[in-house]
Amino acid sequence: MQNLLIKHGRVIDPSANIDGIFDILVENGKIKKIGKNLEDKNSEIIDAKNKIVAPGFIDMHVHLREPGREDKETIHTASRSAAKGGITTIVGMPNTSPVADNQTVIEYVLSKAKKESLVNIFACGSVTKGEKGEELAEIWELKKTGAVAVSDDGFDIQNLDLYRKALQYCKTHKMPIISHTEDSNLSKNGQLHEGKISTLLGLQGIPACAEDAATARIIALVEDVNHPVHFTHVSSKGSVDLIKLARSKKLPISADVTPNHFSLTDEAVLGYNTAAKVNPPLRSEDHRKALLKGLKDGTISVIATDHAPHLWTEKQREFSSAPFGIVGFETMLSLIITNLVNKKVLSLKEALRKITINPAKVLGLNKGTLKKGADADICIFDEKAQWTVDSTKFESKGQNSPYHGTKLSGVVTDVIVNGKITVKDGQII
Amino acid sequence: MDAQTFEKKLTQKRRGQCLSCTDLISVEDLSKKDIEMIFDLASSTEELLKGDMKKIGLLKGKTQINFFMENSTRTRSSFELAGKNLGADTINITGDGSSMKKGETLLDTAITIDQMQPDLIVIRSADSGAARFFAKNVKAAVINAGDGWNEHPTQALLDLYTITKLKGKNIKGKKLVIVGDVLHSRVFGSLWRIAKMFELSVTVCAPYTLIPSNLADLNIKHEPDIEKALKNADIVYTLRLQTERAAASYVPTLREYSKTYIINAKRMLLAKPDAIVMHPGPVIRELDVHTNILESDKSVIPHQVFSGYCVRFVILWLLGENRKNKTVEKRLYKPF
Repeated sequence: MQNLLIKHGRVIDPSANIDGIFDILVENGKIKKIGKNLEDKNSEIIDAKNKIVAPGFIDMHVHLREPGREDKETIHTASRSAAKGGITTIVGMPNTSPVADNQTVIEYVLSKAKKESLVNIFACGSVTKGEKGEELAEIWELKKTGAVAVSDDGFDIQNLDLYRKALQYCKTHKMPIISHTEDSNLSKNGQLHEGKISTLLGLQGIPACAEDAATARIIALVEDVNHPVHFTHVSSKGSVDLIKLARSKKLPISADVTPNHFSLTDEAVLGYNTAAKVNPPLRSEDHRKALLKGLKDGTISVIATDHAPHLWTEKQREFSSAPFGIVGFETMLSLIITNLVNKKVLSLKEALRKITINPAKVLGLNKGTLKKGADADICIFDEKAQWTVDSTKFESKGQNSPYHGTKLSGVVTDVIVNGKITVKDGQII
Repeated sequence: MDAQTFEKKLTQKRRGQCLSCTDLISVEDLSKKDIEMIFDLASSTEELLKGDMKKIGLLKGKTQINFFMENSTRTRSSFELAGKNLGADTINITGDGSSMKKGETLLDTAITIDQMQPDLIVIRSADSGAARFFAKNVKAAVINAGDGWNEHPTQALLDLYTITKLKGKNIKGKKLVIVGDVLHSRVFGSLWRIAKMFELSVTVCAPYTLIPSNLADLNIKHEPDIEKALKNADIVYTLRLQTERAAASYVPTLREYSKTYIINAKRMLLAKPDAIVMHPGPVIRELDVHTNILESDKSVIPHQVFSGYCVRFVILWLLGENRKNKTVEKRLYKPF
């Protein structure tokens, strides 16, 4: 494998608290050295002058759609889309068809990934069989096959006795749980955030308390069992408050937010815009502000996309018949820079922390760092460059993005995965 | 008066004016001036539509398709009759009788129906937003005859037309009290919008389970106590309670609902002496409104039905000539 020497870039590695102009030498797919004015005759040189060099990003919440819905996305197309966005590690959620509630599906995803993926793929198994919330899946075997976490994403386990047993059983086998947090009676038939916009559109709303109530009850279980739960795609002010309180009590709780929820409000749905239909829903400005505050004070330590590709046809429908979901890989970094860094919510280093070392810590992945000996997953980007989103040009099969036509800052130029150049000058190799 | 004289009279009154919209999906598609023109023309049609000879030829040669995916008595029959009276050829397609039952999408249904070159499509759907979606994808002028819980603009127009006929044109500041299932009502969706345009004061009266959220943001008052809400009311607008709402615990029982929210003669004593009672229909007697009101002069519900006939007649005429001017929205599709 060719050595790489990345020169003159501003290296930001939150895991080592590095922020400065350095060169990075990559040898045999690993980080060999970081320093000033490195030289190596055998290396291919990448000039990163005026660019940021960061650990490749980790997206711990994605929908690969394979197996089952290869018409929406495949492991290959998802990996191309992730690479384009500078994301070198992704964690696939288990709501495929069939559901990843058994070793066969996990094994299929991981072996397919090995053959066809441009980026590192990890798999998340389901907590319950068929994500039905009725019986536990074979969590020990899921772990043994390589699943890094379990989640019933898309649904929440409503039966608290079962949830408690799931936590106890996951504790037995040291398996973290990722929680999609929703009381399904309160959210039933809901299409968007319940508020002024749902009233203006005459659509059934999903009240914020559907998430708040579920967050509260899960925290009670975590307090009882003392096993980690990661709250994914947090969307409500009440949830942020509850999670903050729980963390102040040193409970093993973490949380992520999607770029959609910190960038947009439910006003994006006006005109029955199905591209902005997502679950949990985009909420009102007071909730968005609470999410920004949670990102700032560390209550929300991770940003994940919930990349959810759908067919064009499925979104060209009556609003209540269209599926929930937004594609996220190719706009993630730009939304973070445009809406968090440029608006002084987070420094670039703190923002990068939430898509590198922090998700790695939550899932215990040996990724998200540029320390010596680490896998050479690297993203090089131009923080200042601007582009206009054209969802018809995405590498993902999905074009369901509410950002089509939006001007954003931050362009990924080069991506290295395990020491191999995968994206060069913005083009997939 | 013969047909030609009527046509001439209406055409003269119109003075070549057009509505500021090509489709009528929301009350907000119309300007105040548009609405005043509609009312002015509607009053001139009354004589024709009450007369012996109702047929004229202002939409002769035009095609009108009534595409109703939900049940209707008043709306569909008035649109169909009005279209026929104007000389248009009208056909009806129902949801159950359409290819949507076979799995055709609304988009493909729209594309298909539009190839029949209709000038007007009147659409009713259980889905909020469906009428706008249809309008974007066809060249015909689309009239929303009710979409989900969203809007029913011709209902609000006929209601306001009825109000101005009975209360005079100066209605600013009059107190409109809307009673009943506001949450699931597309009639409410259009009514509050038109009431806002004409500066009526709007109070809704219903239990907290049956009102949509954030009404205060829309400058709408909520008074759950009917005795308080009716005080000084000029117009009491009742909405039908769908009987299945009791099963879904919006109210405990229909019995209790009728005791707490029915509009009856005793309660109407709290409103202004000249207050009127309206209802978009269908009325459920003794649940929404008591017979002692329905059989009294207070009820203007039959007037509303005739107003609907006149107002829809005018709207069909005003929107019936737009096909050649309208463009279909470009759909953004990425091949892969």
